[in-house]
Amino acid sequence: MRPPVLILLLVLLSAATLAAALATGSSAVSLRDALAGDAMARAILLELRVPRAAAAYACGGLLALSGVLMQALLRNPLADPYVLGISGGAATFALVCIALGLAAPLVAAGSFAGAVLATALVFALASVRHDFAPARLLLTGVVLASGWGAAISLLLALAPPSGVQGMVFWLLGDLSAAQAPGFAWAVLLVAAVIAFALARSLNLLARGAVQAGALGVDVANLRRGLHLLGSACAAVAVSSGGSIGFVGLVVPHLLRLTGLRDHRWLVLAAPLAGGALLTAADTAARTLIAPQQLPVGVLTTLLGVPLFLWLLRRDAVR
Amino acid sequence: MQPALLEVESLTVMRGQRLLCERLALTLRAGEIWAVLGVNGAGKTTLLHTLAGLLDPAAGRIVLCGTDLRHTARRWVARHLGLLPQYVDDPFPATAFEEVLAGRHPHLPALAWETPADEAFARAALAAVGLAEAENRLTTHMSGGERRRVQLATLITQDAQVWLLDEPTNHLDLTRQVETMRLLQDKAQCGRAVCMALHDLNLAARWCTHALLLFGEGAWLAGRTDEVLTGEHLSRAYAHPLQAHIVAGRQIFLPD
Repeated sequence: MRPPVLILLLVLLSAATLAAALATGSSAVSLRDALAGDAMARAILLELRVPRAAAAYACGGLLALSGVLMQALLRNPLADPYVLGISGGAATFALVCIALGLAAPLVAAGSFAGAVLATALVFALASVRHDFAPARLLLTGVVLASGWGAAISLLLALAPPSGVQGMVFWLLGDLSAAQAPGFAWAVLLVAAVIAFALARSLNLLARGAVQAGALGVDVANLRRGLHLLGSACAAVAVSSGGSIGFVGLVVPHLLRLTGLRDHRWLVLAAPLAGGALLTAADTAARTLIAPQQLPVGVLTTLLGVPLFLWLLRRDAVR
Repeated sequence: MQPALLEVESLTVMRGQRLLCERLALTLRAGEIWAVLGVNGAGKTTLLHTLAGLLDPAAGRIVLCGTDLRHTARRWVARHLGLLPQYVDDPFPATAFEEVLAGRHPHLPALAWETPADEAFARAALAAVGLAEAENRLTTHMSGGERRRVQLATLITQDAQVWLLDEPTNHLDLTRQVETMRLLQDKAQCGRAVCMALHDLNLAARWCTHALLLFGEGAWLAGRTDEVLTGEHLSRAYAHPLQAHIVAGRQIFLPD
Protein backbone atom coordinates (compact mmCIF):
# COMPACT_ATOMS: atom_id res chain seq x y z
CA MET A 1 0.00 0.00 0.00
CA ARG A 2 1.32 3.44 -0.88
CA PRO A 3 1.93 5.57 2.23
CA PRO A 4 -0.39 8.45 1.25
CA VAL A 5 -3.22 5.96 0.70
CA LEU A 6 -2.57 4.43 4.10
CA ILE A 7 -2.61 7.87 5.73
CA LEU A 8 -5.91 8.65 4.03
CA LEU A 9 -7.37 5.35 5.24
CA LEU A 10 -6.21 6.11 8.77
CA VAL A 11 -7.84 9.54 8.64
CA LEU A 12 -11.11 7.92 7.57
CA LEU A 13 -10.73 5.26 10.27
CA SER A 14 -10.12 7.99 12.85
CA ALA A 15 -13.25 9.85 11.77
CA ALA A 16 -15.28 6.64 11.95
CA THR A 17 -14.05 5.69 15.42
CA LEU A 18 -14.62 9.21 16.72
CA ALA A 19 -18.14 9.24 15.27
CA ALA A 20 -18.85 5.88 16.83
CA ALA A 21 -17.52 7.10 20.17
CA LEU A 22 -19.86 10.10 20.06
CA ALA A 23 -22.85 8.03 18.99
CA THR A 24 -22.65 5.35 21.65
CA GLY A 25 -22.69 5.33 25.39
CA SER A 26 -24.36 3.93 28.44
CA SER A 27 -27.40 6.20 27.92
CA ALA A 28 -29.42 5.71 24.74
CA VAL A 29 -28.64 9.16 23.39
CA SER A 30 -27.97 9.35 19.68
CA LEU A 31 -26.17 11.97 17.66
CA ARG A 32 -29.47 12.77 15.97
CA ASP A 33 -31.16 13.69 19.29
CA ALA A 34 -28.36 16.06 20.14
CA LEU A 35 -28.39 17.67 16.74
CA ALA A 36 -32.19 18.02 16.92
CA GLY A 37 -31.74 20.29 19.90
CA ASP A 38 -32.57 17.99 22.82
CA ALA A 39 -30.88 19.80 25.74
CA MET A 40 -30.26 16.64 27.74
CA ALA A 41 -28.85 14.81 24.76
CA ARG A 42 -26.70 17.80 23.91
CA ALA A 43 -25.32 17.99 27.45
CA ILE A 44 -24.44 14.30 27.46
CA LEU A 45 -22.75 14.66 24.11
CA LEU A 46 -20.78 17.83 24.79
CA GLU A 47 -19.93 17.28 28.44
CA LEU A 48 -19.37 13.55 28.53
CA ARG A 49 -18.76 11.95 25.17
CA VAL A 50 -16.83 14.65 23.32
CA PRO A 51 -14.19 15.16 26.04
CA ARG A 52 -13.92 11.41 26.59
CA ALA A 53 -13.50 10.61 22.90
CA ALA A 54 -11.07 13.49 22.45
CA ALA A 55 -9.04 12.33 25.44
CA ALA A 56 -8.97 8.74 24.20
CA TYR A 57 -7.85 9.79 20.73
CA ALA A 58 -5.10 12.13 21.97
CA CYS A 59 -3.91 9.56 24.49
CA GLY A 60 -3.69 6.81 21.88
CA GLY A 61 -1.96 9.13 19.43
CA LEU A 62 0.60 10.19 22.03
CA LEU A 63 1.35 6.62 23.04
CA ALA A 64 1.82 5.44 19.46
CA LEU A 65 4.02 8.41 18.57
CA SER A 66 6.06 7.92 21.71
CA GLY A 67 6.47 4.25 20.77
CA VAL A 68 7.86 5.14 17.36
CA LEU A 69 10.30 7.63 18.90
CA MET A 70 11.47 5.28 21.66
CA GLN A 71 11.99 2.41 19.23
CA ALA A 72 14.13 4.61 16.99
CA LEU A 73 16.03 6.07 19.96
CA LEU A 74 16.77 2.69 21.52
CA ARG A 75 17.10 0.94 18.14
CA ASN A 76 14.99 -1.77 19.64
CA PRO A 77 11.75 -2.98 18.12
CA LEU A 78 10.58 -4.14 21.55
CA ALA A 79 10.78 -0.69 23.11
CA ASP A 80 7.57 1.06 24.08
CA PRO A 81 6.72 4.37 25.79
CA TYR A 82 6.96 2.75 29.20
CA VAL A 83 10.19 0.86 28.76
CA LEU A 84 12.23 3.58 30.47
CA GLY A 85 10.05 3.58 33.56
CA ILE A 86 7.83 6.57 32.81
CA SER A 87 4.63 4.73 33.61
CA GLY A 88 6.18 3.38 36.80
CA GLY A 89 7.03 6.84 38.06
CA ALA A 90 3.64 8.15 37.03
CA ALA A 91 1.83 5.23 38.63
CA THR A 92 3.72 5.49 41.91
CA PHE A 93 2.81 9.15 42.27
CA ALA A 94 -0.77 8.60 41.10
CA LEU A 95 -1.26 5.80 43.61
CA VAL A 96 0.07 7.96 46.41
CA CYS A 97 -2.41 10.65 45.39
CA ILE A 98 -5.24 8.10 45.32
CA ALA A 99 -4.20 6.78 48.73
CA LEU A 100 -4.32 10.34 50.08
CA GLY A 101 -7.85 10.61 48.71
CA LEU A 102 -7.08 13.46 46.32
CA ALA A 103 -9.48 14.43 43.53
CA ALA A 104 -8.98 13.23 39.95
CA PRO A 105 -7.29 16.39 38.59
CA LEU A 106 -4.73 16.19 41.39
CA VAL A 107 -4.13 12.51 40.69
CA ALA A 108 -3.47 13.45 37.06
CA ALA A 109 -1.13 16.26 38.12
CA GLY A 110 0.64 13.91 40.51
CA SER A 111 1.12 11.25 37.88
CA PHE A 112 2.50 13.86 35.49
CA ALA A 113 5.00 14.93 38.15
CA GLY A 114 5.95 11.28 38.62
CA ALA A 115 6.48 10.82 34.90
CA VAL A 116 8.68 13.91 34.74
CA LEU A 117 10.70 12.73 37.73
CA ALA A 118 11.14 9.25 36.21
CA THR A 119 12.34 10.82 32.94
CA ALA A 120 14.74 13.16 34.70
CA LEU A 121 16.18 10.24 36.70
CA VAL A 122 16.82 8.18 33.57
CA PHE A 123 18.26 11.20 31.81
CA ALA A 124 20.65 12.02 34.64
CA LEU A 125 21.74 8.45 35.33
CA ALA A 126 22.15 7.22 31.76
CA SER A 127 23.85 10.28 30.33
CA VAL A 128 27.64 10.20 30.14
CA ARG A 129 29.43 13.16 28.54
CA HIS A 130 26.10 14.54 27.28
CA ASP A 131 25.26 11.47 25.28
CA PHE A 132 23.67 8.13 25.99
CA ALA A 133 24.33 4.85 24.32
CA PRO A 134 21.07 3.00 23.68
CA ALA A 135 22.13 -0.08 25.65
CA ARG A 136 22.95 1.92 28.78
CA LEU A 137 19.82 4.02 28.42
CA LEU A 138 17.66 0.90 28.06
CA LEU A 139 19.22 -0.87 31.04
CA THR A 140 18.99 2.22 33.22
CA GLY A 141 15.33 2.61 32.29
CA VAL A 142 14.49 -1.05 32.81
CA VAL A 143 16.18 -1.16 36.22
CA LEU A 144 14.44 2.02 37.34
CA ALA A 145 11.15 0.63 36.02
CA SER A 146 11.49 -2.42 38.24
CA GLY A 147 12.22 -0.10 41.17
CA TRP A 148 8.99 1.76 40.47
CA GLY A 149 7.25 -1.62 40.13
CA ALA A 150 8.31 -2.53 43.67
CA ALA A 151 7.00 0.80 44.95
CA ILE A 152 3.67 0.16 43.23
CA SER A 153 3.39 -3.32 44.76
CA LEU A 154 4.15 -1.88 48.17
CA LEU A 155 1.48 0.80 47.79
CA LEU A 156 -1.09 -1.80 46.70
CA ALA A 157 -0.20 -4.05 49.61
CA LEU A 158 -0.49 -1.28 52.18
CA ALA A 159 -3.52 0.53 50.76
CA PRO A 160 -6.90 0.17 52.50
CA PRO A 161 -9.24 -2.19 50.59
CA SER A 162 -11.53 0.68 49.66
CA GLY A 163 -8.76 2.42 47.71
CA VAL A 164 -7.39 -0.61 45.94
CA GLN A 165 -10.01 -0.78 43.19
CA GLY A 166 -9.35 2.79 42.09
CA MET A 167 -5.65 2.05 42.09
CA VAL A 168 -6.02 -1.10 40.02
CA PHE A 169 -8.19 0.75 37.50
CA TRP A 170 -5.54 3.43 37.21
CA LEU A 171 -2.85 0.81 36.70
CA LEU A 172 -4.82 -1.00 34.03
CA GLY A 173 -5.41 2.20 32.12
CA ASP A 174 -8.67 4.05 32.45
CA LEU A 175 -9.92 7.16 30.71
CA SER A 176 -13.00 7.79 32.84
CA ALA A 177 -11.21 10.52 34.81
CA ALA A 178 -9.65 12.11 31.73
CA GLN A 179 -10.50 15.77 31.60
CA ALA A 180 -9.50 18.79 29.55
CA PRO A 181 -8.07 16.89 26.59
CA GLY A 182 -7.04 20.21 25.02
CA PHE A 183 -3.60 20.02 26.58
CA ALA A 184 -3.03 16.46 25.37
CA TRP A 185 -4.10 17.48 21.86
CA ALA A 186 -1.78 20.46 21.86
CA VAL A 187 1.15 18.29 22.97
CA LEU A 188 0.28 15.67 20.35
CA LEU A 189 0.17 18.21 17.52
CA VAL A 190 3.40 19.93 18.52
CA ALA A 191 5.18 16.61 19.08
CA ALA A 192 4.01 15.25 15.72
CA VAL A 193 5.28 18.34 13.93
CA ILE A 194 8.68 18.16 15.66
CA ALA A 195 8.90 14.41 15.02
CA PHE A 196 8.10 14.96 11.36
CA ALA A 197 10.86 17.56 11.10
CA LEU A 198 13.32 15.08 12.65
CA ALA A 199 12.05 12.08 10.74
CA ARG A 200 14.74 11.82 8.07
CA SER A 201 17.36 11.78 10.81
CA LEU A 202 15.36 9.08 12.61
CA ASN A 203 15.67 6.85 9.56
CA LEU A 204 19.44 7.16 9.87
CA LEU A 205 19.59 6.81 13.65
CA ALA A 206 17.76 3.51 13.34
CA ARG A 207 20.88 2.27 11.52
CA GLY A 208 23.21 3.13 14.34
CA ALA A 209 25.12 6.06 15.70
CA VAL A 210 28.17 5.64 13.46
CA GLN A 211 26.21 5.44 10.23
CA ALA A 212 23.94 8.31 11.29
CA GLY A 213 26.90 10.46 12.30
CA ALA A 214 28.72 9.68 9.08
CA LEU A 215 25.69 10.85 7.12
CA GLY A 216 25.54 14.17 8.95
CA VAL A 217 23.28 13.59 11.96
CA ASP A 218 24.28 15.23 15.24
CA VAL A 219 23.64 12.02 17.15
CA ALA A 220 24.09 13.23 20.74
CA ASN A 221 21.66 16.12 20.33
CA LEU A 222 19.18 14.04 18.38
CA ARG A 223 19.13 11.39 21.11
CA ARG A 224 18.58 13.96 23.82
CA GLY A 225 15.78 15.57 21.85
CA LEU A 226 14.15 12.22 21.10
CA HIS A 227 14.29 11.13 24.70
CA LEU A 228 12.64 14.35 25.84
CA LEU A 229 10.02 14.33 23.08
CA GLY A 230 9.12 10.65 23.51
CA SER A 231 8.99 11.07 27.28
CA ALA A 232 6.83 14.18 27.07
CA CYS A 233 4.31 12.30 24.92
CA ALA A 234 4.28 9.34 27.26
CA ALA A 235 4.01 11.54 30.36
CA VAL A 236 0.99 13.42 29.03
CA ALA A 237 -0.67 10.19 27.89
CA VAL A 238 -0.06 8.40 31.17
CA SER A 239 -1.28 11.28 33.28
CA SER A 240 -4.54 11.45 31.33
CA GLY A 241 -5.26 7.75 30.87
CA GLY A 242 -3.16 5.73 33.29
CA SER A 243 -0.80 3.01 32.05
CA ILE A 244 -2.68 1.94 28.95
CA GLY A 245 -0.66 -0.95 27.64
CA PHE A 246 0.19 -2.23 24.19
CA VAL A 247 -0.80 0.78 22.06
CA GLY A 248 2.71 2.22 22.06
CA LEU A 249 4.30 -1.11 21.22
CA VAL A 250 1.83 -2.55 18.80
CA VAL A 251 0.85 0.44 16.66
CA PRO A 252 4.35 1.14 15.27
CA HIS A 253 4.66 -2.56 14.43
CA LEU A 254 1.23 -2.77 12.84
CA LEU A 255 2.24 0.11 10.61
CA ARG A 256 5.62 -1.44 9.80
CA LEU A 257 3.91 -4.69 8.92
CA THR A 258 1.76 -2.87 6.38
CA GLY A 259 5.02 -1.88 4.71
CA LEU A 260 5.50 1.57 6.21
CA ARG A 261 9.21 1.94 6.96
CA ASP A 262 10.10 5.59 6.39
CA HIS A 263 9.85 7.53 9.67
CA ARG A 264 8.50 10.53 7.79
CA TRP A 265 5.34 8.51 7.22
CA LEU A 266 5.52 6.56 10.48
CA VAL A 267 5.39 9.65 12.68
CA LEU A 268 2.28 10.81 10.82
CA ALA A 269 0.56 7.45 10.66
CA ALA A 270 1.27 6.43 14.27
CA PRO A 271 -0.79 9.19 15.96
CA LEU A 272 -3.70 8.50 13.60
CA ALA A 273 -3.62 4.74 14.10
CA GLY A 274 -3.00 4.98 17.85
CA GLY A 275 -5.79 7.49 18.25
CA ALA A 276 -8.24 5.34 16.29
CA LEU A 277 -7.28 2.16 18.16
CA LEU A 278 -7.65 3.69 21.58
CA THR A 279 -10.89 5.50 20.70
CA ALA A 280 -12.41 2.26 19.45
CA ALA A 281 -11.19 0.38 22.51
CA ASP A 282 -12.50 3.03 24.86
CA THR A 283 -15.91 3.03 23.17
CA ALA A 284 -16.05 -0.72 23.68
CA ALA A 285 -14.88 -0.31 27.29
CA ARG A 286 -17.72 2.11 27.98
CA THR A 287 -20.46 0.14 26.28
CA LEU A 288 -19.76 -3.61 26.38
CA ILE A 289 -21.19 -4.16 29.85
CA ALA A 290 -22.65 -0.68 30.45
CA PRO A 291 -23.27 0.92 32.86
CA GLN A 292 -20.27 -0.93 34.25
CA GLN A 293 -17.03 0.33 32.64
CA LEU A 294 -14.11 -1.87 31.75
CA PRO A 295 -10.52 -0.65 32.07
CA VAL A 296 -9.59 0.36 28.53
CA GLY A 297 -6.02 -0.89 28.89
CA VAL A 298 -7.35 -4.44 29.12
CA LEU A 299 -9.30 -3.98 25.91
CA THR A 300 -6.43 -2.47 23.93
CA THR A 301 -4.39 -5.50 24.84
CA LEU A 302 -7.21 -7.93 24.06
CA LEU A 303 -7.71 -6.24 20.67
CA GLY A 304 -4.01 -5.87 19.98
CA VAL A 305 -2.77 -9.36 20.78
CA PRO A 306 -4.71 -11.31 18.10
CA LEU A 307 -4.31 -8.55 15.53
CA PHE A 308 -0.58 -8.43 16.04
CA LEU A 309 -0.15 -12.20 16.04
CA TRP A 310 -2.19 -12.48 12.84
CA LEU A 311 -0.12 -9.84 11.05
CA LEU A 312 3.11 -11.37 12.28
CA ARG A 313 2.14 -14.82 11.01
CA ARG A 314 0.91 -13.43 7.71
CA ASP A 315 4.21 -11.64 7.29
CA ALA A 316 6.23 -14.75 8.09
CA VAL A 317 4.21 -17.00 5.77
CA ARG A 318 4.54 -14.62 2.79
CA MET B 1 50.53 18.33 -7.06
CA GLN B 2 46.91 17.36 -6.43
CA PRO B 3 44.93 19.42 -3.89
CA ALA B 4 45.01 18.31 -0.25
CA LEU B 5 41.56 17.13 0.84
CA LEU B 6 42.25 15.93 4.37
CA GLU B 7 45.20 17.22 6.36
CA VAL B 8 46.13 15.65 9.66
CA GLU B 9 48.43 17.67 11.86
CA SER B 10 50.12 16.29 14.94
CA LEU B 11 47.12 14.09 15.74
CA THR B 12 47.18 12.02 18.90
CA VAL B 13 44.46 9.42 19.26
CA MET B 14 43.73 7.60 22.49
CA ARG B 15 41.18 4.96 23.41
CA GLY B 16 40.63 5.18 27.13
CA GLN B 17 44.17 5.12 28.53
CA ARG B 18 45.62 3.39 25.46
CA LEU B 19 47.72 5.45 23.05
CA LEU B 20 46.87 4.44 19.48
CA CYS B 21 48.83 6.95 17.45
CA GLU B 22 50.98 9.83 18.54
CA ARG B 23 51.49 13.08 16.65
CA LEU B 24 50.31 11.60 13.38
CA ALA B 25 50.90 13.82 10.36
CA LEU B 26 49.67 12.99 6.90
CA THR B 27 47.90 14.56 3.97
CA LEU B 28 45.30 12.83 1.80
CA ARG B 29 45.35 14.29 -1.67
CA ALA B 30 42.92 13.86 -4.51
CA GLY B 31 43.75 10.72 -6.44
CA GLU B 32 45.43 8.94 -3.55
CA ILE B 33 44.33 5.63 -2.09
CA TRP B 34 45.57 4.98 1.42
CA ALA B 35 45.63 1.69 3.27
CA VAL B 36 45.55 1.76 7.07
CA LEU B 37 47.17 -1.42 8.34
CA GLY B 38 47.79 -2.86 11.77
CA VAL B 39 46.92 -5.72 14.07
CA ASN B 40 43.50 -6.10 15.69
CA GLY B 41 43.06 -3.35 18.25
CA ALA B 42 45.87 -1.24 16.77
CA GLY B 43 43.38 1.60 16.37
CA LYS B 44 42.38 1.51 12.71
CA THR B 45 38.66 1.99 13.36
CA THR B 46 39.17 4.57 16.09
CA LEU B 47 41.50 6.52 13.79
CA LEU B 48 38.98 6.45 10.93
CA HIS B 49 36.17 7.57 13.24
CA THR B 50 38.41 10.37 14.52
CA LEU B 51 39.24 11.45 10.98
CA ALA B 52 35.50 11.47 10.26
CA GLY B 53 34.96 13.77 13.23
CA LEU B 54 32.86 11.21 15.13
CA LEU B 55 35.40 11.01 17.96
CA ASP B 56 37.48 13.82 19.40
CA PRO B 57 41.26 13.41 19.18
CA ALA B 58 43.35 13.74 22.32
CA ALA B 59 45.41 16.39 20.55
CA GLY B 60 46.07 17.75 17.10
CA ARG B 61 44.11 19.11 14.20
CA ILE B 62 42.20 17.71 11.23
CA VAL B 63 41.55 19.98 8.27
CA LEU B 64 38.90 18.84 5.80
CA CYS B 65 38.82 20.64 2.45
CA GLY B 66 40.49 23.66 4.00
CA THR B 67 38.29 23.87 7.12
CA ASP B 68 39.21 22.81 10.64
CA LEU B 69 36.94 19.92 11.57
CA ARG B 70 36.29 21.38 15.02
CA HIS B 71 34.54 24.38 13.53
CA THR B 72 32.14 22.56 11.25
CA ALA B 73 28.62 21.24 11.49
CA ARG B 74 28.08 17.50 11.09
CA ARG B 75 26.04 18.03 7.93
CA TRP B 76 28.83 19.99 6.29
CA VAL B 77 31.32 17.26 7.18
CA ALA B 78 29.01 14.63 5.71
CA ARG B 79 28.82 16.50 2.42
CA HIS B 80 32.62 16.41 2.14
CA LEU B 81 33.58 13.18 3.87
CA GLY B 82 31.90 9.79 3.86
CA LEU B 83 32.55 6.77 6.06
CA LEU B 84 31.77 3.13 5.40
CA PRO B 85 31.46 1.68 8.92
CA GLN B 86 32.84 -1.72 9.74
CA TYR B 87 29.42 -2.96 10.80
CA VAL B 88 25.98 -1.67 9.99
CA ASP B 89 23.13 -3.60 11.54
CA ASP B 90 19.50 -2.87 10.91
CA PRO B 91 17.07 -3.66 13.70
CA PHE B 92 14.31 -2.35 11.41
CA PRO B 93 13.78 -3.57 7.86
CA ALA B 94 14.58 -1.32 4.89
CA THR B 95 14.90 -2.01 1.19
CA ALA B 96 18.25 -1.70 -0.52
CA PHE B 97 16.96 1.35 -2.37
CA GLU B 98 15.80 3.11 0.81
CA GLU B 99 19.10 2.41 2.48
CA VAL B 100 21.13 3.74 -0.43
CA LEU B 101 18.92 6.80 -0.86
CA ALA B 102 19.80 7.77 2.72
CA GLY B 103 23.21 8.72 1.35
CA ARG B 104 21.62 11.89 -0.01
CA HIS B 105 20.66 13.02 3.52
CA PRO B 106 23.50 15.54 4.01
CA HIS B 107 22.77 17.14 0.64
CA LEU B 108 19.07 17.74 1.30
CA PRO B 109 17.66 20.75 3.18
CA ALA B 110 16.04 19.90 6.52
CA LEU B 111 12.44 19.34 5.43
CA ALA B 112 13.05 18.41 1.80
CA TRP B 113 12.22 15.05 0.27
CA GLU B 114 14.48 13.28 -2.18
CA THR B 115 14.06 14.48 -5.75
CA PRO B 116 13.98 12.21 -8.82
CA ALA B 117 17.61 13.24 -9.34
CA ASP B 118 18.49 11.85 -5.90
CA GLU B 119 16.63 8.64 -6.72
CA ALA B 120 18.48 8.33 -10.00
CA PHE B 121 21.72 8.79 -8.08
CA ALA B 122 20.80 5.95 -5.72
CA ARG B 123 19.82 3.64 -8.59
CA ALA B 124 23.08 4.35 -10.37
CA ALA B 125 24.99 3.56 -7.17
CA LEU B 126 23.17 0.24 -6.78
CA ALA B 127 23.99 -0.56 -10.39
CA ALA B 128 27.64 0.31 -9.76
CA VAL B 129 27.85 -2.38 -7.08
CA GLY B 130 25.95 -4.90 -9.21
CA LEU B 131 22.67 -4.73 -7.29
CA ALA B 132 20.49 -2.92 -9.83
CA GLU B 133 17.93 -5.74 -9.69
CA ALA B 134 17.83 -5.80 -5.90
CA GLU B 135 16.50 -2.34 -5.12
CA ASN B 136 13.23 -3.58 -3.63
CA ARG B 137 14.73 -6.39 -1.58
CA LEU B 138 14.93 -5.96 2.18
CA THR B 139 18.52 -5.74 3.37
CA THR B 140 17.57 -8.00 6.28
CA HIS B 141 17.00 -10.76 3.71
CA MET B 142 20.34 -10.23 1.98
CA SER B 143 23.63 -12.07 2.36
CA GLY B 144 26.51 -10.43 4.21
CA GLY B 145 28.30 -9.61 0.97
CA GLU B 146 25.20 -8.11 -0.62
CA ARG B 147 24.61 -5.93 2.43
CA ARG B 148 28.23 -4.80 2.29
CA ARG B 149 27.70 -3.72 -1.30
CA VAL B 150 24.49 -1.89 -0.37
CA GLN B 151 26.51 0.00 2.25
CA LEU B 152 29.14 0.80 -0.35
CA ALA B 153 26.39 2.08 -2.65
CA THR B 154 25.22 4.36 0.19
CA LEU B 155 28.73 5.80 0.31
CA ILE B 156 28.74 6.28 -3.46
CA THR B 157 25.40 8.11 -3.15
CA GLN B 158 26.83 10.35 -0.45
CA ASP B 159 29.28 11.53 -3.13
CA ALA B 160 31.86 13.05 -0.80
CA GLN B 161 35.41 14.22 -1.59
CA VAL B 162 37.05 12.08 1.06
CA TRP B 163 36.11 8.40 1.35
CA LEU B 164 36.96 6.57 4.56
CA LEU B 165 36.25 2.85 4.50
CA ASP B 166 36.54 0.45 7.42
CA GLU B 167 37.41 -2.96 6.00
CA PRO B 168 35.38 -2.50 2.79
CA THR B 169 36.15 -6.01 1.55
CA ASN B 170 34.62 -7.76 4.59
CA HIS B 171 32.18 -10.48 3.51
CA LEU B 172 33.02 -9.97 -0.18
CA ASP B 173 34.04 -12.83 -2.45
CA LEU B 174 37.21 -12.56 -4.50
CA THR B 175 35.55 -11.09 -7.58
CA ARG B 176 33.67 -8.51 -5.57
CA GLN B 177 36.81 -7.56 -3.67
CA VAL B 178 38.56 -6.77 -6.93
CA GLU B 179 35.49 -4.94 -8.28
CA THR B 180 35.31 -2.87 -5.11
CA MET B 181 38.97 -1.94 -5.29
CA ARG B 182 38.59 -1.05 -8.95
CA LEU B 183 35.56 1.13 -8.15
CA LEU B 184 37.53 2.92 -5.44
CA GLN B 185 40.42 3.40 -7.83
CA ASP B 186 38.03 4.96 -10.37
CA LYS B 187 36.73 7.31 -7.70
CA ALA B 188 40.27 8.32 -6.75
CA GLN B 189 41.07 8.99 -10.38
CA CYS B 190 37.98 11.25 -10.52
CA GLY B 191 39.55 13.42 -7.82
CA ARG B 192 38.49 11.75 -4.58
CA ALA B 193 40.81 10.78 -1.75
CA VAL B 194 40.27 7.24 -0.46
CA CYS B 195 41.49 5.85 2.85
CA MET B 196 40.64 2.36 4.02
CA ALA B 197 41.43 0.04 6.88
CA LEU B 198 42.45 -3.32 5.46
CA HIS B 199 43.64 -6.70 6.65
CA ASP B 200 44.72 -8.02 3.29
CA LEU B 201 48.29 -6.85 2.67
CA ASN B 202 48.25 -7.99 -0.90
CA LEU B 203 45.14 -5.98 -1.72
CA ALA B 204 46.85 -3.00 -0.14
CA ALA B 205 50.04 -3.56 -2.11
CA ARG B 206 48.16 -4.04 -5.36
CA TRP B 207 45.66 -1.16 -5.17
CA CYS B 208 46.80 1.48 -2.72
CA THR B 209 49.13 4.34 -3.56
CA HIS B 210 49.97 5.04 0.08
CA ALA B 211 49.94 3.19 3.35
CA LEU B 212 49.78 4.00 7.05
CA LEU B 213 51.14 1.34 9.36
CA LEU B 214 50.07 1.40 13.00
CA PHE B 215 52.58 -0.40 15.21
CA GLY B 216 50.66 -0.03 18.47
CA GLU B 217 51.61 2.14 21.44
CA GLY B 218 51.46 5.27 19.31
CA ALA B 219 54.14 4.45 16.73
CA TRP B 220 53.25 4.77 13.06
CA LEU B 221 54.76 4.96 9.61
CA ALA B 222 53.14 6.67 6.64
CA GLY B 223 54.19 7.10 3.04
CA ARG B 224 54.09 5.66 -0.42
CA THR B 225 53.11 2.01 -0.56
CA ASP B 226 56.45 0.85 -1.99
CA GLU B 227 58.33 2.56 0.82
CA VAL B 228 56.07 1.54 3.70
CA LEU B 229 55.13 -2.00 2.72
CA THR B 230 58.37 -3.88 3.19
CA GLY B 231 58.95 -7.21 4.84
CA GLU B 232 60.81 -5.49 7.64
CA HIS B 233 58.13 -2.92 8.47
CA LEU B 234 55.29 -5.42 8.21
CA SER B 235 57.08 -7.96 10.37
CA ARG B 236 57.36 -5.28 13.04
CA ALA B 237 53.73 -4.15 12.69
CA TYR B 238 52.27 -7.65 12.87
CA ALA B 239 54.87 -9.01 15.30
CA HIS B 240 55.20 -11.96 12.98
CA PRO B 241 57.88 -12.64 10.35
CA LEU B 242 56.70 -11.70 6.85
CA GLN B 243 58.58 -11.91 3.58
CA ALA B 244 58.10 -10.07 0.32
CA HIS B 245 58.11 -12.19 -2.83
CA ILE B 246 57.84 -11.22 -6.45
CA VAL B 247 55.22 -13.33 -8.23
CA ALA B 248 54.23 -12.60 -11.82
CA GLY B 249 55.94 -9.24 -11.59
CA ARG B 250 54.01 -8.17 -8.52
CA GLN B 251 55.09 -7.95 -4.92
CA ILE B 252 53.21 -10.17 -2.50
CA PHE B 253 53.68 -10.71 1.20
CA LEU B 254 53.60 -14.09 2.83
CA PRO B 255 53.76 -14.86 6.55
CA ASP B 256 56.36 -17.41 7.59
